[in-house]
Amino acid sequence: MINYLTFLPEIILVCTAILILVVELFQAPSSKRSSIRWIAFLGTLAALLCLSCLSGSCPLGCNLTDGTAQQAFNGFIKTDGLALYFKMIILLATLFTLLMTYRHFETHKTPYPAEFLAILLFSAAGASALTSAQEIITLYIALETLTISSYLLASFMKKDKGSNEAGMKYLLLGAFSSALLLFGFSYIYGLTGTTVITEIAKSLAMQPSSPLAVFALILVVGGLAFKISLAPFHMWTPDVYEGAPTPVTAFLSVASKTAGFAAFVRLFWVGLNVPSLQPIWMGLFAVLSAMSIILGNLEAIPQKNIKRLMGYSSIAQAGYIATGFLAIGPMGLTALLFYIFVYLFANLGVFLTIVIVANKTGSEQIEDYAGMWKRSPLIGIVLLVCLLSLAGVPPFAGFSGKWYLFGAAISKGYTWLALIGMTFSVVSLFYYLQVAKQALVVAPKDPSPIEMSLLERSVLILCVVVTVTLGVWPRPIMDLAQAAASSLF
Amino acid sequence: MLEQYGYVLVFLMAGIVFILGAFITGWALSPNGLLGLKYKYKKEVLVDTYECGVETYGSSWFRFNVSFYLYALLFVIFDIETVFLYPWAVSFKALGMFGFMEMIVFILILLVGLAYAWKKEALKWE
Repeated sequence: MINYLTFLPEIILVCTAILILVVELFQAPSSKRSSIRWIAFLGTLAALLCLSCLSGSCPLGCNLTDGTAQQAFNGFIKTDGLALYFKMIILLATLFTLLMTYRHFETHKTPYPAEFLAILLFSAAGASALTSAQEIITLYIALETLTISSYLLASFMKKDKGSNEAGMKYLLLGAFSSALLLFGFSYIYGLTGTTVITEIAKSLAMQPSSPLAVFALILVVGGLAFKISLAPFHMWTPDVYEGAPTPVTAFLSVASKTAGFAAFVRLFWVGLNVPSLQPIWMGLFAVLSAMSIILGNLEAIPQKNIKRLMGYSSIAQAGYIATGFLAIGPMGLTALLFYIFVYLFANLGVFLTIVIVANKTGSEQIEDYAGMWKRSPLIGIVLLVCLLSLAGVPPFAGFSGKWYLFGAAISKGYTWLALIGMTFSVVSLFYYLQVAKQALVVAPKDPSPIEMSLLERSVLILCVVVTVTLGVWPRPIMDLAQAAASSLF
Repeated sequence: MLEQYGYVLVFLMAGIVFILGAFITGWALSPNGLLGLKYKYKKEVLVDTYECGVETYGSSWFRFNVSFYLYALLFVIFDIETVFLYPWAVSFKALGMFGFMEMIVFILILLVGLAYAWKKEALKWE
């Protein structure tokens, strides 16, 4: 028998997506299509609730398990605490994306709203499945479900040149990186004769270091680094982030990256964490991380388009998160998980304001954010708080997140990397504050107020509250992250 | 271990001999070849893609109707369904009720896909 509980969140997401497609078929083309939006929203919420049931702490008291890790398919899929934490991040990001979608498609009309929502949910299901994969074929298939859906989402605005460019570039580079990854996997399978990650570790530990293993390792690092846009595999990021519809950009910057880091943790901390290979991939990652921090922050400075700026910023953020990835151990993993949570709220808060502002002004240029403070005080506050949090300024959550990340890196002897991270956090303050300066100091060209719905208002307030609270009182999420990290150690 | 590669060697030799044989035969039968058979060809026949069969016309570099693509896509989906159904049918008894329900779910998903394509008029030829 198969234990369906292990992938209940994915089942819910996929069923919701299919339901949306079917429901839309029987709707008149002229209808407002609010029902499919509600189905998508409730489906994702149900999947999120299902996570807490799986972790044994459901608010409604319908605990599906006793809190122990669930296995299926001979252990190919294991939904442990770590997977549940990553799934939580991905589903929260999906909820945010859905909210942005509703606003975004008010001005950017698409004839296929149901298909967009369905593909988004398929993509979320792929990302979610990726986090609990314990086997490289399962991992690869989940990754492809995520990325192939993302190619479609990025190029969804058929008549829009930028969207087409984004989709095309993402498809070509994504397919190339998938090929690299698969090539690496094939060598790993050839060396070990197994696809299960824990067995790979056992088999690799028994054999001497071989150049083939190193070759495979480099291919896998390259292939996966594309997905989370670590420099020098980041070239696609700015173009795709700028061209793709804004909700998709937001989804890529959080959900896709989270799934990528989940794959990294599973593959490298478990599968390739053997004495003969560990120093090699640690070295590679240290270089990739440093390059991402330096290049991402420096290239963000001259940007005029806010989505492009956020693209470069996300490259730098991936670099910061990678420093936590280098500190193998519960401390590093806790820091990594905590930072991803902080990054989620800060980044998606900014993207939500981008969608709302673009809906009103039709512009994504930073200069058009002039006087946002006067036009909508909330947007001004969100931009200030979230951007300062991304830069890592003390009272906000980004600071405590970076504190843990760099602390973990220093404790493992990566002081130089932490120093680079800290230095370039200061550099990043320059371009983050330029946006904040436009919004808060410069006088508005067009003083008409920007209105938003009650839901958007409350989500923006939530972003600010979470970002500020976690800065001064990180305990609750740190506890959650520690519990999640303990499932691996 | 090593002698197992003997099979590979035999196959390799057979492959090489086959290809060389084809070349030599072709050369032998050609007008200026070994057998010296002098055929009389018309010029236009010489440049044809195929020497026999139905006469070709037009160029292969023209635009296809995009509707073919939709049909091909749907065909592939149901083709795969058949590929799955065969091994399932063979081990139907061993899989029992569980396998039956799994296959029902699989076919239901495909049916939803077909209904979707139908309703979206992908099957309509225009």
